[in-house]
Amino acid sequence: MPTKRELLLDFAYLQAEDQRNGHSSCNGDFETFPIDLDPFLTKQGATYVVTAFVEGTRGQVSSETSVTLKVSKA
Amino acid sequence: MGLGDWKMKGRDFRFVSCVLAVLAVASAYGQAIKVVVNGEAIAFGNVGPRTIYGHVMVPFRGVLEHLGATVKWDDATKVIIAAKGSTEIKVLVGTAVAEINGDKVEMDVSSRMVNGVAVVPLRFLSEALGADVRWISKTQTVQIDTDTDVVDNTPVVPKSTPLPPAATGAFVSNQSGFIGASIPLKFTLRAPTGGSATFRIPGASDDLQMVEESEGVYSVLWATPSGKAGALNLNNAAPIASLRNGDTVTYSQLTNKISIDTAPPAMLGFTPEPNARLAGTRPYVSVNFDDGPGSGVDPSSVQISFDGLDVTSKANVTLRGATFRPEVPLDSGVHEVSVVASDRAGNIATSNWAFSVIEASENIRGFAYNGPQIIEAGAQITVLLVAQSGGAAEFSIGNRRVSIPLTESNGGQFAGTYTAGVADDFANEIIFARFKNEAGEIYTAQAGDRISTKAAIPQAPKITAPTATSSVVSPIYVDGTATPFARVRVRIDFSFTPEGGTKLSGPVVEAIVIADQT
Repeated sequence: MPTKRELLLDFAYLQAEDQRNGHSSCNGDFETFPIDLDPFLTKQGATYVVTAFVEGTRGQVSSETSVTLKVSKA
Repeated sequence: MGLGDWKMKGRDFRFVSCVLAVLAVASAYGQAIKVVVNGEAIAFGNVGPRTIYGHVMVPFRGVLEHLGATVKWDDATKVIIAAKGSTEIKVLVGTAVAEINGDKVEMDVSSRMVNGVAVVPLRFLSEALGADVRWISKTQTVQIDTDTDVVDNTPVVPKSTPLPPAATGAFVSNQSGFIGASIPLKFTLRAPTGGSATFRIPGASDDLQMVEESEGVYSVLWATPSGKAGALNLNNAAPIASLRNGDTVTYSQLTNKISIDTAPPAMLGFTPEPNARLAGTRPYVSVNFDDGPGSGVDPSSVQISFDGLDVTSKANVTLRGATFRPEVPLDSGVHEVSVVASDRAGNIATSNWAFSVIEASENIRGFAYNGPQIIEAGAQITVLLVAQSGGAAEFSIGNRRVSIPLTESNGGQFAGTYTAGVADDFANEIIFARFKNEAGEIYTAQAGDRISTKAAIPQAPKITAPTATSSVVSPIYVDGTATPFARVRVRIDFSFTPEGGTKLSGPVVEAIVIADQT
């Protein structure tokens, strides 16, 4: 599997979900590459917020959707 | 008025630019930005002023109403209508498009919904409503006055000017703004002497030891990565310095703003395709740009040459691509294209390709699309190719929808259709056909008209995993659903408040994924 940074560069990340074994994609599904959480931040008990929105071809953007994560320190 | 003056009346764009430059710095200092209109501080509730990609965004209702405007919100069309005196402003939320008294204006950044509140660029509003705006650095305040004449000569803090550490706890870098690949940076922390200081950038670097280069001044050198393996994008990165003195650890967050973008933009969708044999003499010559989650292509950096001549001034260049069409028919033979573009961090990309114009032949005799140039979801796009009988053919709509089959129905007439869906977001797309004859030779042709779909605000994605209730461990995948083909930008931000300290926050990753289409 390519590293996150390779994916960012060569744009294979556009379909990164296909890199994950066993993933069965459906219409409209998306999935990111594996994201490593910074152990320093996790040790600090950091809160992580995931935000997603859709970008249109001409600069239009959708509303943002966000989720605050509960992170295990283990 | 010079660029250094700190006053704006009406539409003095230069002053507003200065204000925004400092606003961006102020935001990075970690203090909440306050907005005071005619002496009255605005209370914003849960969603206050913020910077988004370097632009100060404010909830529209609070600021506009305090500026004396009447504000209406049309939830069905997502349009804000504000009126003050003879001025009427319309903002289509989710786009960078606005109207001032019916004249279309493009804002620097799209308005958007944040936690259910519409936010708009402060710069645009101030320009449109003709207010005086000044920045008071001491209190990190934007002061807006609608009926006074105020002047503040506070100096501008330009990009790439070192911000000297002046007080204990100050943590700065020697450059600000977008930082490209292989750029050496020096980070400096002013803190009590005799401690042990470390440095890290969440999402970019592990701990590095800082050296106390003089009494109470700790520093470290760090260079942005380079090469394919080092591609890194962090908008408003959040370097952290920690200082251990005995059992006490204190944390500082960088006070000037840096955004790291070490990957050059990608060039995609070359038209005519590389090595194509083109039937037709006045093709659209086009390429698309995609800087992913990076700083974005700088249109002023784009240079296009065609057959060795600079044709940049004759090309249509946007953030997302460049198109050139020869003014006169091309001669038969090989034609060469070269495009150079860089993003706002200075990462340069270059593409060279060539195609051949062929003399009239039996392989392709014609290709046409005879529909409207602006289409809506549900519209059927029908094309007709007249070519040598017995071959195989397909057509594409830019690089948005590719390899749609064309079926031969009657002695060399190939027809095909595509029905536009709600997910289609075409912007001046070139329709072209590809034909392979029985000898295996491939030819191409373009339709005369380009097509666009009506621009619509995309539907928001849903995040299905992880959920707010699940306990996650590293690494994580962010799963979700969106309209098929949707380009989804995903960002993860952190925040924590160390014991006895102030809140630290910033991004750890930002990426773009495309929703599945099948």
